[in-house]
Amino acid sequence: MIDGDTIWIATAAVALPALVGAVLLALPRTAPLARALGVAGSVASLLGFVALFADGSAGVAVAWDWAPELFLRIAWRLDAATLALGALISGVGALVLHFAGAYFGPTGKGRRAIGLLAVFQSSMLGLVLADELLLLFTFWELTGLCSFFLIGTDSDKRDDTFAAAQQALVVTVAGALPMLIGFLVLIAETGTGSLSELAGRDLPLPLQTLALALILPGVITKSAQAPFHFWLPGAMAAPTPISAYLHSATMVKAGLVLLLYLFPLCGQSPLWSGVLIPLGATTCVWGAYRALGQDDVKLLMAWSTVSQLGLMAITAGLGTDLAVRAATLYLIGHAVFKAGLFLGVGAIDHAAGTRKLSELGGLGRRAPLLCAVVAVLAGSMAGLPPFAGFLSKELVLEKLLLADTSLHDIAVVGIVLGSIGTVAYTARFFFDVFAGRPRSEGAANPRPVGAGFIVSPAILALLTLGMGLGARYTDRWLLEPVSAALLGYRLAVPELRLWHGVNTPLILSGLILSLGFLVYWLSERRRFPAGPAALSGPHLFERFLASAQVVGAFCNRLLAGASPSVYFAVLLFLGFAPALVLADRLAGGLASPWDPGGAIVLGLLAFGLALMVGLASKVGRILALTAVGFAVAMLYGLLNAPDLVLTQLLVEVLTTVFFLLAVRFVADREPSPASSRLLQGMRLTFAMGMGVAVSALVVALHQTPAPTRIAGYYLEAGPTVAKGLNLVNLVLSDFRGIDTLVETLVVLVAVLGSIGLLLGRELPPRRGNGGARR
Amino acid sequence: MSLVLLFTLPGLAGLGLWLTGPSARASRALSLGFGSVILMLALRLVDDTAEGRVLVHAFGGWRPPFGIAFAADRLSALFVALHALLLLVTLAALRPESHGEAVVRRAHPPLFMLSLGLFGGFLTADLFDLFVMFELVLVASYLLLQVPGSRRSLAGMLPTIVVNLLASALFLAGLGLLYGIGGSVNVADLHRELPAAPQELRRIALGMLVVAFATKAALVPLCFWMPATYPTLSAPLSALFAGIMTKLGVYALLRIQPLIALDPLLSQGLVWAGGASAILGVLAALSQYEVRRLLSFHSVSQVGYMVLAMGLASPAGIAAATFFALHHSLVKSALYLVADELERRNASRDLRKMDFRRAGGGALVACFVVAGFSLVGMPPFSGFFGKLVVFRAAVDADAWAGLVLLVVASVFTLASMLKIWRFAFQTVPADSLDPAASPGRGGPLVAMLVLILALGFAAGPIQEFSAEGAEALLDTEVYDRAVLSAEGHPGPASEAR
Repeated sequence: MIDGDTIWIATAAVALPALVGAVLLALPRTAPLARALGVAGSVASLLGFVALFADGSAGVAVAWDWAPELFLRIAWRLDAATLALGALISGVGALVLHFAGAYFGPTGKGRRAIGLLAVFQSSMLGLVLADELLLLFTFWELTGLCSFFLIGTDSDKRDDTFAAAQQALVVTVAGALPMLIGFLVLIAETGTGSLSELAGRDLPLPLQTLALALILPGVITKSAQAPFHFWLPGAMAAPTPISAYLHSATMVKAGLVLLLYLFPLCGQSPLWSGVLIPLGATTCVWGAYRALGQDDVKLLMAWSTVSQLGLMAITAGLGTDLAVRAATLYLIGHAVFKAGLFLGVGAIDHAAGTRKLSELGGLGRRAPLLCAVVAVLAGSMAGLPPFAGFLSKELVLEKLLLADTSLHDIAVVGIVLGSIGTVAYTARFFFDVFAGRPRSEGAANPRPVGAGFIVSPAILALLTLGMGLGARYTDRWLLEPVSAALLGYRLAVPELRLWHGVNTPLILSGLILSLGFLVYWLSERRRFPAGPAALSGPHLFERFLASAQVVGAFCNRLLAGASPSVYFAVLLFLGFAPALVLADRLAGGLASPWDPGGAIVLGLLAFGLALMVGLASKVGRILALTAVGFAVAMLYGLLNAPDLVLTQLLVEVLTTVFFLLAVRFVADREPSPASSRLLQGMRLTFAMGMGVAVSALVVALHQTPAPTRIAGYYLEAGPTVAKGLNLVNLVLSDFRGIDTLVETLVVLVAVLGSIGLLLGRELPPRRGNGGARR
Repeated sequence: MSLVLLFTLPGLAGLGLWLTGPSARASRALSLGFGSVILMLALRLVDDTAEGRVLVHAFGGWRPPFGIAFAADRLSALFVALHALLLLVTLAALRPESHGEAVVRRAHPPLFMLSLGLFGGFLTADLFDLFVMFELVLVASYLLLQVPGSRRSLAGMLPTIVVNLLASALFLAGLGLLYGIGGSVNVADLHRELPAAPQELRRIALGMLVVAFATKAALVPLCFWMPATYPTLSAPLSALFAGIMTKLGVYALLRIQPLIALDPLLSQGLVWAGGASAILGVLAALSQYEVRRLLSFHSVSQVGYMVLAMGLASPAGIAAATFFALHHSLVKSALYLVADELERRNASRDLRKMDFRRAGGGALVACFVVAGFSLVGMPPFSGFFGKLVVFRAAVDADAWAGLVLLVVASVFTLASMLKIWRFAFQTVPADSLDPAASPGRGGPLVAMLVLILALGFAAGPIQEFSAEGAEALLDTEVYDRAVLSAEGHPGPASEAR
């Protein structure tokens, strides 16, 4: 089924927009060509998908084995569903890019926006077509990244746009990370990450629930479900074409698309309905409520998108195959009319110079074409016949009435309330913009709406009208193959009709319409306050980041803020404290017979150390340290190691000389009274503890039998093979000669470095202890 | 043979440059020449070990464990190649025109001595030899730390030197203990001897090694020295340091994993220390406003990912740690180069004083986007694969607590990268995107950019390489046989194994 040509066409259709985008981003001179190139890329991609769809291609097209060990192949899952979504994305993309050309004009900003939009388009296409879960994840994150840069496009409002872009990215990425783990769990349990292979598997219920629990955070954040919906209205800081494409038509649907893909896999888990319906209902009702209170029409549209995403989540959450079919139709229909409405808002903004309902009005007579186009789109959103929105809403209601889940009542309340709200805010939007008297100068004398602003929404309006009128063909050519592909089997349901007689859904629809209008007539915008600002999502998010900064400042002090000596103590403690468990061995060590020579040395050591701690002057302490070193040399003497004695004495003398020379430069600082008795006590305890630990370690080591293999070999091979009698020399210069060589290098480097330091006149000008202390 | 060359070439280059003291330009040309040859040798080493061969050279003709041997398996080869790569980029980035002639001339010789120590550390099969290499690295880095010569750099490094010396002392003490109970300091030999050693002493000895290496790797709670040190370094050098220095500690921890695996308590400790590092490090980074200090706290966090992964004590975990180390070196070096450019253009270290209009230059923006979002773990950049393999290893090991820590850490990593983006880059005016803004300087940036993208592109084969390397590391059979039967004097007949 999948031949070379198909793979080639599919890959090209996905990648072409990104290539165009890369060219636009890399070459500043392409600004005048940005629109033409962008639209050409999208149209070519659209044609590719339409051709594959018409051809009935189905199967997995593997373009490149990227990292098969990591379950990451560039592989496209081709079926009616993915191809239809691909065509939708490319088609809407072409229209949005065309609009963006007019919106931005041939400027650098426009080139950047169109370039990024084209890159985004490829990411979105990859997301819906990816066969591997991890490839899907890759594109999922890429869409978020593109969204981040696109929201930040508007350089006039740096801080606002940054906050919005950051919110959107952080929230969606935070949701996506558990999702990645969910994917990895699925892969670990099934041994495959391919969606098409997984679709045939029958997963055990606990696994379904675990995977779903991990994946749902990704879905909920990406598709702006409560309580993470707040980033979506925030993202309206982006220019309108970007909001139209990313934040209403495509990217925010990614979560729901993934749900539809996963339905055959995880749909039986109780978590499916248990999470989606309550969250969806909350989102649906709250979104509609907030939309009713907006003055800015773009924000109204954003909250409306939130509400309708909630509606789709409820529908998908019903968890039956018929509900999946309804959700699919709603998803496609919504992408068409909502993209059109956003572009319409862009055109209104361009014409009247404002997006505020309180300043608009009377545009109907002054911009009749725009009015007609927006009327169709708004009618579709409100669910009026004969538009596509009516079809999908009817279908949703029908499924709702058929469905039988424990959460049924919540779903009904959510959808009905949400739909009433939808009718009300749609009416408010339409009548306040187009009817009545203009409430500002701009609305009274609108700028003419050029073809660049009207073509794209008009095409989308025609599409939504056509899909509604030709309900039968919409079903036969689009919905049926798509839902069959999603579910894996054909549904035996009556064909979709615009008019199917007077039945319950129709009555319910009528009821919703009348109630919605009633709400619109009876209420004012002011009646819908946003609630306490302290509890709003953006506020809580900023608070969260700010408190992370505070915790971070604490961590900074914890990890690097204390005096270095504290960390030295931590290092010693971690290294030696475990040896305290051996403390009981000390008794055994002390019980062994005492040697008088050793006792004398020990006494000397103790005396030296006591002097070192007790003496006030620096010179005195240095000399005490030397005494300790000499005592160690005596210890070596007792152990019959004259060469070690010599080395030790030499080292001690030299260090003392250097110390005494250096101490000249160090200001004599009295121990400050602040280092209290408590601190002294702690230091003493610490030192004693470490001493006990090390002694215990030494005793314990002496109690274990010492392996003598290597020493034995050296004794044996020294005279015969290495031809030497001094074993220490042999070890240093022959057996382990390379160590000595490197140690020599260490000394050499130190010497050369010191010479460089001295010749380079790099000594600190001020000879105090400040440099060394801080 | 190539093992010995990797040892002698940097030494020759370093001493030669020191003794002859050529002009900055000549020094740069010579260094680049040596660097290229070293890189070729390193890449050949990767190729030679790819099939699972272990190259061994026993010095002085004494067969281990009686003499010292260098042994290159896949793990060693990867780290050697990584450093060779970073060395070359650093040498290219150090330009007399932008950093001053004196800095360039003074940096070259210690750079090569540092490389000698690092190569030796990555290649040696002898733990005492590793200690000696640590010393060389320390003294060379001490000199490098002084290269800028400012008061601040002299002051900042004293605690660093002291803590490294303490860690070395601890290493030595642990090594003495290991020799006492295992009778050897050769890794391969210890693989065979330690399982029979008394458990309590073994745990203490290995614990000392782990603490010493963790200090070198800047793991919480022993990371205090790093944020204080790196910001004082001359920029391309700090890029190299950030890339590779902590990795010597990470490598050492990886190398002794078969020994640590004898004691589940130690592995568990690594998981927790890694998780704590990952989360505390990134939180501390989030609160910083100095770019380089922010980035160095990030290293603490990212080392935590690696240590957590290796603490899982599975081949997948080791492989994940290896891959993550590769990725992190490249990305962190690139970010330090970006930070250097930003600081230079804004004449400030403080993010709040940076102006997005001075961040022009397509290479800089592109490099930050790729490296920054790679650090965050965004696909399709290398960091995604790093995160992916670590997560996968954790899922396989059912380490859910670790996963939660890593997920939270990842979110904050994103937030902290966005912080840099916000202050230094947010909305670069479209018209100032002029790739020709800073000729020449973009070179190393572009090189790092290409390397990061290439690591993402070739993630499959490289991951496979490190996975096979990890299997072999934990299995130890091939390595041990190769090391202990190296060409050399066979040792006493009674001990032949």
